[in-house]
Amino acid sequence: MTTSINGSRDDADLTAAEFVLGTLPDGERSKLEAGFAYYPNWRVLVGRWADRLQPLAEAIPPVEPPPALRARIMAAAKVVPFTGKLRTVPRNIWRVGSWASAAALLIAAMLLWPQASTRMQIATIGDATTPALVTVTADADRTELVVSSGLPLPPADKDFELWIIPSDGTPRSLGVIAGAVETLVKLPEAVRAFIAADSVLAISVEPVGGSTSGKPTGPVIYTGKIVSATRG
Amino acid sequence: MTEIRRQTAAVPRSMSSQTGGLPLDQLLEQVAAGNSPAFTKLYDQTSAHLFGIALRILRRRDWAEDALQETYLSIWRKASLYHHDQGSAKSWLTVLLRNRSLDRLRREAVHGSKVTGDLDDIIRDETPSPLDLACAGATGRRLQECLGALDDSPRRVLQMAYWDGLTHDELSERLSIPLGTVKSWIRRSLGKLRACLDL
Repeated sequence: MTTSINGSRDDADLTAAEFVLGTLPDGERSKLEAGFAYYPNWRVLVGRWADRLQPLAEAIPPVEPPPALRARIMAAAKVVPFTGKLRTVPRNIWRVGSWASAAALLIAAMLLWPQASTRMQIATIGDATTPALVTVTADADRTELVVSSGLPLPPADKDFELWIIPSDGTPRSLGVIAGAVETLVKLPEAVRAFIAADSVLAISVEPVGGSTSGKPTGPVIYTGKIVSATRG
Repeated sequence: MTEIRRQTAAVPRSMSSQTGGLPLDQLLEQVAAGNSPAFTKLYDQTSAHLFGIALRILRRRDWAEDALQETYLSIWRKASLYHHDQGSAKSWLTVLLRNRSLDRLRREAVHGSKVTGDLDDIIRDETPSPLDLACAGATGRRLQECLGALDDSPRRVLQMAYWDGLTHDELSERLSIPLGTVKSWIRRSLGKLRACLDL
């Protein structure tokens, strides 16, 4: 990230102000926007400025967009391969020290997964050098996966996207994952059946927000085969 | 128009919608879970507000429509990134929309497209007035007071930057003020605003 996030607090805060105002050079603006996902403290500074300046936005008269645009957006939203939400666990990990983070992580894990005993490991994901970089566990009903911590952070202007590739060979997106921290991936109904033995999990590098084409567009950097996904 | 404007402007910081629907932050949460009806509701509650801002910055209907579409598709995909600690849901949507609009504005400027568009005549005379700011609830009145405490020219620079999406260079050119002055005015005015608003 740029020094403006890590520089003095006042400097970072005024950079956040200019980010919201819109006067930063474009390259910097997009980089900082990508930073939303990874630097929650930056997000907080921006959020405060967004609230402070919001009355300027409220002062602009609203204009109804044409109905055809609404239809177009709704149609496009259904086509976008959005596949369930992902949640980084825990959200506040960044604000506290690493020991406290570990404790927070544990507590969050306990809160989020009271049924932890019914989870089972279904795969490890990695590359040729480290085949078991992260482990993937699923609950008995295959409604969610947990990707363990251990992935690096994606490049500043990229996201990692998780895919399931069943025996038909067509990748289905399971959503963008954060990297670095343990991540909960909610599985939409439509893909649950694919979480089965011999399907392959893969992680690709994608533009922020994930691939918009429905297929991986960047390099697939980690893979792992599901070994067992039977109930039990 | 005035009536619509006041209604929207009066949306309190609590993010409630005046239509009695769910608060925006809850809608966003449902959108994050992939709930399409919630997405439709969110669109219906916020699109006129966001479209107004996009039109103001881009001054062309087709560009503003594109920016709105990109914004909502990114909301659909990235709603899970929203968290209360980053401001109200409405402010978050505004930041997204303004960024997509600025992306387009800058891209077109690079390609030498005519940035003044077909809506110039309608929009030019619609510089939001102090009254509109005052209508945006208590936070609006407070911001207005704090903006009022700045000198005229720096205040004008800030408002033009926000409402018209102008860069440092464009502000310098349009107002015939040296670039360095524009930059330092903006930075200093923002610092003063913060001090005043956080009192």
